[in-house]
Parts: sequence; structure tokens; C-alpha cells
Amino acid sequence: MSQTVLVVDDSKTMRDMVTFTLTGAGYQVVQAGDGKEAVGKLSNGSKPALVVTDLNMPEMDGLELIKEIRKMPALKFTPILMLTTESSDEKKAAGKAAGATGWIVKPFNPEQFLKILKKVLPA
Amino acid sequence: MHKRIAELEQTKYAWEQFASHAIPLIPVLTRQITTVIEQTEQAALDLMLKIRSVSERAQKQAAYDVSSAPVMDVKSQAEGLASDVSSIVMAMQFQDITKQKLEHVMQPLLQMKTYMESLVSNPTAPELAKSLNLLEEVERSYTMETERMAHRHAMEGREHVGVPVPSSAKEEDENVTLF
Repeated sequence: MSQTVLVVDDSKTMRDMVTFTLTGAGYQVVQAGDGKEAVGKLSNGSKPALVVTDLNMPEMDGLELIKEIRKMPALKFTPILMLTTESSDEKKAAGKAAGATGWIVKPFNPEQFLKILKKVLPA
Repeated sequence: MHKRIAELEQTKYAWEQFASHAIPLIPVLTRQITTVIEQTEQAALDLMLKIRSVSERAQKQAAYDVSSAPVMDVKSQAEGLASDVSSIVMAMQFQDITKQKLEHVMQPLLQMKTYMESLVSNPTAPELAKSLNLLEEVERSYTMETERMAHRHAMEGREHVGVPVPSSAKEEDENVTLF
């Protein structure tokens, strides 16, 4: 059975680009437009193998989302990748402290992105 | 009469304060918009190039007799196609990146509008000028290194030479951090 990835970004173009890359590699994708919508989907019992999230989003940003996810016992160890234009070391440190697994600065290269996914996803 | 002169002086001061914040901001915003224009053009060119490459590969494959073609040829064509698609996906992300850059230009423009409206309705409020911190605020809003670089260059009055776009594998690796 293919693994499911939750993709969170307020930009539809980005969600679709990530979805195109992931579905082409055999993953299933669930999308959310911001952190709040993502939390709503996760609260309904959805348990993705991986979360890919943007940082700056309305309603709830990526850092808040990570903190919320880490509070959920079933998702405590789920890998979370930040995919953002933000490149400052300060923000990366905040991401790490919140519980992110990795940080990818946009624009992402699909081939490289899939390699990273394989690295962080449980076998 | 003295009261009127004092009011006029306060108004002049408030507008001067506004100008002292707004004038240095304009070349910074102009530089940010220039980089957006360049990035959009670069993305369009990249897309055009890769679409042409995909089209050429498709024509070659249509002319191929796959059953008799060397395996290496078919494999290399497939790899080339995958690489072209990756480049297209990368180029298409310009929309999200340029959208954010333009939002960071819009924010100070809207602040300037609000400030000017306040000055027009209450020109003798000198405390207004103290609340204005346009350059610092716009600098804080940046998320991308290219924005910070364009800001620095504009502030230093450096000639615009274009914004570097990551292309090599090494630079791509630098965009990934695993904790």
C-alpha cells in the first residue's frame, strides 16, 4: 500500500507541484491550505507517513502546526519537512526546536525532494 | 498668528519625517520589483527551453523503433525526459516565490498610504513620525536571501547586476538541511 503524505501550503501552485511530484512517485497525497486546516484533517484520525509544510501561512503557520502535531501521540515521531522560501539560520533553528525533521528552501528540485523523502520516511 | 505658525511648522516636520523614511525606501522597493521581473523572465525562458527539449525528445521517440533501439538509448531518453520535467517543476515555482516578494513590497506601500492619510487628516500630530519605521519593517518581512541581498545592494547604491539563481547540484544541496 502506498504511503500518504500531508502537503500543507497556502499556495495552490505549490501544493499542486508537490502533489504532482509525489503522486508521480507512487505516494498518496492529502492537501491543506494552512496549519489550521491541516490540524483539522489530522484530528479526524488521518495518519500520514510524512508531513510537508510551508512556514508562512494564514490562520496557523508552519511552526505552530509542527508544535500541534508533536502534541498528538500518534504523530509524535512522524517526519515533518519544512518547504519554504525562508532561508535564515534563525528560522531553521526555530523549526528544529519545534520538532521539524528537515528544512528545504524553495524552489525544490523534484528528484532531490524524492531522495530526501526516502531518507526520512520509515521503511 | 503664532499658533498658526507653530501648526505649520509641525505639519512641515511631520511631512519631512515621512519623506526621510519614504525616499530611501523607494529604491529598495524598485530593486525588489526588478528582481521579480528578472525572475519571472528567467522562469519563462527556462520553461520555454525545457518544453522545447521535451517536444524534441517526444519527436525522437515517435521516430524510434523501440524494439530494435539500443537499451541505453531508450534509458537515456527516459532519464532526459525526467530531468526536463524536474526543471519544469522547479521553474513553475516562480509563482509562489514572486508572489511573496511582491507581498513584501505591498506591505510598506500600504503603510505609507495609511501614514499619509493620517497626516492629511491630522497634520499636527508629531507622534505619527515616531511610529514610522518603514525600512526596518520591510527588512524584517524578508524571507529570502535574494530579497536581503537586493535590499543591501539598493541601500549601498550598488549597480544592479541581477540576482543569482541556484543551478548547480552543490547549490541545491545547500538548500536542504536535515536535523
